[in-house]
Amino acid sequence: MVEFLSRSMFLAVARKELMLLVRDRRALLLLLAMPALFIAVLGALLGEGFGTRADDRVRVSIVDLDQGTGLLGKSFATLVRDDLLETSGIRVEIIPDLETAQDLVSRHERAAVMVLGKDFSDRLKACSFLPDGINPFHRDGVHLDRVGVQVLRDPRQIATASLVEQVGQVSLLRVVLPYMIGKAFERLSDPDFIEILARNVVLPVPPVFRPVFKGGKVNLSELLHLGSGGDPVLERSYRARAGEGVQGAITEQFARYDLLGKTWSALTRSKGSGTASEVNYLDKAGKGWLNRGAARYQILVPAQSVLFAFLIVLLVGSILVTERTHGTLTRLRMSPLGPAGLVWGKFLPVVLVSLFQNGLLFATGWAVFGMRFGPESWSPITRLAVLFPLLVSVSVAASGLALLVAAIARGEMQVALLGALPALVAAVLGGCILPRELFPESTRWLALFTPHGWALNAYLELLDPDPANVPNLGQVSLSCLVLWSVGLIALAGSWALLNREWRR
Amino acid sequence: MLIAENIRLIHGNVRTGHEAVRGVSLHVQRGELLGLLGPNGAGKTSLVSVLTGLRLPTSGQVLLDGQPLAANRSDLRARVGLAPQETALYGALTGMENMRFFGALYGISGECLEERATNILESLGLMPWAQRVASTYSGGMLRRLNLAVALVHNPEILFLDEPTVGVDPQSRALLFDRIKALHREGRTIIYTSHHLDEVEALCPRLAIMDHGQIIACESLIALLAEQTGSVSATCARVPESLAQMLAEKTAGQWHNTDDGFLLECLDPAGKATMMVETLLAHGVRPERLVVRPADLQSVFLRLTGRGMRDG
Repeated sequence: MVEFLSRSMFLAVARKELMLLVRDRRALLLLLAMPALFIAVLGALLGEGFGTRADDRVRVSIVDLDQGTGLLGKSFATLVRDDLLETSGIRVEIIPDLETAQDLVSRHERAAVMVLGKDFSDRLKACSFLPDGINPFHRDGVHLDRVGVQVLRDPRQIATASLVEQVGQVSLLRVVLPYMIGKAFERLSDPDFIEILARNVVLPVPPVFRPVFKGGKVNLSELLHLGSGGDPVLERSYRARAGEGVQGAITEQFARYDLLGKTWSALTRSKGSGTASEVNYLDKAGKGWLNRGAARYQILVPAQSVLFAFLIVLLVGSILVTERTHGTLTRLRMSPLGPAGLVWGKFLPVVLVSLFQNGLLFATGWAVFGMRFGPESWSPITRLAVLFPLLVSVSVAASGLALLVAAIARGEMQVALLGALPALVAAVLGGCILPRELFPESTRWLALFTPHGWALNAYLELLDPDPANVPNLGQVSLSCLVLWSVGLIALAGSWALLNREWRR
Repeated sequence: MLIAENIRLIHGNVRTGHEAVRGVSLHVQRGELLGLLGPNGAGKTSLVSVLTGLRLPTSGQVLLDGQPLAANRSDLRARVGLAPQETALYGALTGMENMRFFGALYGISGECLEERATNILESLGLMPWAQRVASTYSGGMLRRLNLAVALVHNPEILFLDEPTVGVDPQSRALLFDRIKALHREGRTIIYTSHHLDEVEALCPRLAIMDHGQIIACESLIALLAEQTGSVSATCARVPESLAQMLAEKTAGQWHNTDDGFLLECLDPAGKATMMVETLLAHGVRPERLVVRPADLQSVFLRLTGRGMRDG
């Protein structure tokens, strides 16, 4: 293995291979143009949910414009979102602005979007059972307009819109009602309320006190005045105690509720199931007829890139088969080159071509399909610095396997059977043709038996559709390690086969 | 220079496989041009693959200047050149690029490689097309380039396997001239062909193979000397007694033909005068006399038989 390194022969082979690969323009064009074409066609045809498992939970989309403060340092809009998150069977989507929401509804991509206005908290704070407050209730729930909530509805999806609105209504009730009860209960200790109460509590006077209380009746207010001996401070203190007594009595009577809690969980002394999830809205649909910028490209581009990277076996295999059938391999065997020189000489240009193929696809993905590399928090250089080793790893694995197949195959048909067929099966198992999310859970582990699966795992980690997600670089590194191992083991296998042929 | 000692080559399993070469021993002298002949399936290609070091023999050994030509002796194998039967070239590369690539495989580079490649292509009439990709070459040009590539590393021993298959007479003549020139330069050449006239014209010594064995390995002259030719005379019917006498004098065989008499014998040209004199002496006047000397085809057919070798 070392002998060839001291010579420039393998570089001559590498140069020759590169010339042959580059000059086979038709094959090269297919290798480069086909995946881009596949991506364009699939990108235009597939729906926004491509690559994600169907979610049968009700999606409640919200635009949160609330600028006020409600309770516990949070806005009431946040409390509504928190309440929705504690609701079973739904998923909450936060849409960044009103324009996007209107656009989504007008394009029938959302049945309904609930817009919590910028004065939502202020309006809720004004809600009260008192006559001077906003009364938000009516028979069906909450008057949305009175609390600054707008529901954008798609007239084509009335049933779904109603369902979404009902979920929103329930959450609004769970926020508004405890707040209003709490506020009302606080009023029980208010002196003005006790004054009203005291005036209304009228008791008959026993005969012995009738000389003092003329008319035979006395109200609680008069008793408190009498008890304080006319001292206004003491009288106010007595009224406060009466209020506390009323509060305490009601609290004791309704011990299962915290009437001062102001939130649903505090009022009912309960906790929600907390099964809902909140996600930020992603522009999954993209723009234009190519759906540029659609989230699906974050999956399509790497999937097609991996699929076609491993199909390079067809090109490499046919070149080595041609070497055999045309007798040039005999000439190579006659020369001092040796099998190691041949393997390395063929491997390096194939890696370069594969790298070029992958790089071009990702560049096309970025320029034409508007895909993103890595999270927004990373600089462009960091994104490329992380992506590049992965591209190299995929190319190494694909090129190594291509050479192994080429070393085994003795004809074009064998190249197709030994190369393309397993590559396609592995692509299916690895999730390059159909998203793995569509597979049953019980079979997804099979992807880890394919280099395609490892490659795609790493790509999807780096190219998460959610720009806020920071990739797990440990997972990416592990995939790179596996891919390098696959490539080098395959390379060693091809060397062993050619070495046997060399020395037979 | 090249010695093959009791070479056996079995394809496949040693016990059940096909024995393509059966105990062949061969000595090729430095500067010799040896013709290797044999019908299809005789084992020529298998023997050449062993002699060039492409295949390890099942038993026996090949010595190049006394050293075994093993698979790991790339230095020895570099002294051997092969122009295989198929045009083993890269069609997508130009003629010059093919030369440069195969030259580089032997560690030749720079000006030396350019000069050598240019000279060889020039000598084979390919220089005007050196920058054209080989896939656009005619059959004759490909054959010439095939030889050119075999020469680029200046091998001491050159194996030419059917070098003129599918070429036009002009290319063939050029190839012949070049091969003769290489021989004159002192290059050792082993020339394999089915074209017996080519071998006869080029090779002073011949090895004829059949059924995996060398059944004759002698100079062309010696082989032809062992083969009968014929003298045919157009004349009146020759009496049987006279015919028998002529046959005995020439140690040959006689036949009456439709228009005269035919005598098969060794060295027919040398015996034609005696035959004419004898016929005239007996009153038979030949109108026309045709002398057919022994040729390689008759030698070949005598040695290998006329049976088909399609199996």
